Amino acid sequence: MERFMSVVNLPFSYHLIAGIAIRLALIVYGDFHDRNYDVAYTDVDYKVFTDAARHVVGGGSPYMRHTYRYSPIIAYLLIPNVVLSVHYGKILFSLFDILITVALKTLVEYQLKSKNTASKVAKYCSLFWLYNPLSIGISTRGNADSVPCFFIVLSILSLQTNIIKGLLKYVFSGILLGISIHLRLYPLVFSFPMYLSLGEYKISRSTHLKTGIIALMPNKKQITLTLSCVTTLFLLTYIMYLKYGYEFLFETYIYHLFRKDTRHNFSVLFYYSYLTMDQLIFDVVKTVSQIFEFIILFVLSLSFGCEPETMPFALFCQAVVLVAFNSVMTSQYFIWFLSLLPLVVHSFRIKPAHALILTMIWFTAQGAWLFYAYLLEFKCREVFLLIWLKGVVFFCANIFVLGHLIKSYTPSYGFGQIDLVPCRVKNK
Amino acid sequence: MIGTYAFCLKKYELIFGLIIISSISVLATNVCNFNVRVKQTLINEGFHRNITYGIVFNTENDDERWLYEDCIVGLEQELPSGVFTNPDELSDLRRNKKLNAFPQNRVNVELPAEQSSPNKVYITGKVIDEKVNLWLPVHARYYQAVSGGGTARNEIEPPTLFLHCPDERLELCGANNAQAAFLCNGSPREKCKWKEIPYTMMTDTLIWDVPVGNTDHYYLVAMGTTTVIVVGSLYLLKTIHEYQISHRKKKL
Repeated sequence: MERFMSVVNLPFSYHLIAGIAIRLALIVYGDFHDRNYDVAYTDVDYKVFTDAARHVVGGGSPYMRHTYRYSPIIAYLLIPNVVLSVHYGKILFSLFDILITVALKTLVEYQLKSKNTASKVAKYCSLFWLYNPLSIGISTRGNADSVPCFFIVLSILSLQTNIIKGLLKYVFSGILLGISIHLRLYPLVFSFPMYLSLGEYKISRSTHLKTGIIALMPNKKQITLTLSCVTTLFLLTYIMYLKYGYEFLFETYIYHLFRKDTRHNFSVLFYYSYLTMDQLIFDVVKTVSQIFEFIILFVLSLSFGCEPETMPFALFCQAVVLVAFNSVMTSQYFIWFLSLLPLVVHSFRIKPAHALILTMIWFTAQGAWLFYAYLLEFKCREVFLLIWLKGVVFFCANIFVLGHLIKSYTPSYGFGQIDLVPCRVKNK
Repeated sequence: MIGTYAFCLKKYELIFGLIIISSISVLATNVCNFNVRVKQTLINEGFHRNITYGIVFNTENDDERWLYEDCIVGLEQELPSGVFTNPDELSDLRRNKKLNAFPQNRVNVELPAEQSSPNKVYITGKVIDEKVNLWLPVHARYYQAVSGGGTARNEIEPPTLFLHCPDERLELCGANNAQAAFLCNGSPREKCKWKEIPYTMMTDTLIWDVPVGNTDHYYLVAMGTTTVIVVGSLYLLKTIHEYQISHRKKKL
């Protein structure tokens, strides 16, 4: 533990260099692996992006590549993959990872600015992203999911810090949020708590109705954020629509909204979706699920979104709920909330053993699902019902862990002001 | 005089030509007796497997080697609707020069078997030491769930075999060239001549059973899923509510 802490306590720049080195090493390894093994290290989507970029370079549409279901911006970003080097995209995604780490550290420092240990706590928090095996894996395998995460974190950074001053920071925050929604639809949910966090609500039972309504009227900051976000989203989407037509709208958004992928995945709704093959005219189960999901997202916004201090926690909880209730869930979706975890991880008043148990519950539930999925996919065993049961267990694990995190949530707790650091290290 | 001589010469040439053609025809019936054996196997387990083809040419008579040495075998494999090859995977294998295979039609890798149709795949490989070993990565599609569950059967039929040689030697075999323009890969028609060749199949039709969902589970799964979602949601809402109450108390 002592040695571990001495490594953790190394300067932040050392960690960044280590983070870059790990990612570069894995990119090199990935190339070696792909050349020598049948099961590729590189994500299937990376080839899709590269092929889409190739179509763009050739003057065509990225949607000429079957299964390209992203904004054309991703294909544009990866044009150097075709003209420069095929590793460019992985390096770019890894760079986004590093920038996210820096942004997260800066944000947590701002959150804890009154504490003299802020810098140390912020560093610890950012390492949750920098050394997260999932974030490392996703970027080095060439998955673009860290790109929207980057814009979300930057949007919060702009909103909650004074790096950009005055109303301009709300403009920037809105633009960045608009870009992230354009890239992936899910950050749309975050816009509500982000909007709410800019209001001042002094409403109690004794508040007069008229005063209450006036308090709910949008202020200058909220209007600026909303306008810049909506304008960016509309402009980007409209430009892409003009260029690529309905195909862009369908592949990027409509497909994801009505995705009918009935093959096995982590979702609690998988076996149900498979049995019905999504052919019901009115799907009661999915409607019930969506109603509850909507209510929880709304309640989370109202409960934690109204104050700037707790707003990142609202976003984190919403991301967990979005993933847990999604009708299709794969491990790359975990990045949605794992990128926000560093913003709130220091606020959990929780014993290390308790945290370890929660982590183990989450991983064990996932492992159990993976075992049965392996039996189905690689051994052709008829275990659909067991996979469904493990999906149920994983859903329960997600909800249970989230429930415990909510219970232990203590804003500005700051890891109990670094009680984690062993005395000897402190004395040094 | 000269004209009469020329006519006589042409006549002789014609007779000579006819003699050669008839002798080649006679020869062809003897030498084009391909003796090819094919072993088709399905390796690995699960939804992602490989079909392997062991193609062996007759080695009993050395005089017949000239028929296939340095030639290229083209293999046409029809895949049932429940099985597909991933065109992107194949293009990667082509790019890395590991395998030269391509599907005839566009493949939608996401559809279930019922909404797909059979597709043909073509694989080519050079005859080396009287042998060609080919393989093809294939994937199984999901089938629609049925009452009782169990498995759905995919049957992969034997392939059709073609031969293409760098010269005109197969012309001697007489028979028409097969309609195998798909194997030409853009090369001019006159240079792309494939001949379908008979072979002896050494293995049975491939059988690939994949598990199918059980619609008898529908009510259990629908009720169970709904219950879990409702209970989980209520637990979360209760937790948030309790947090808010305790938080307010602390503030007071």
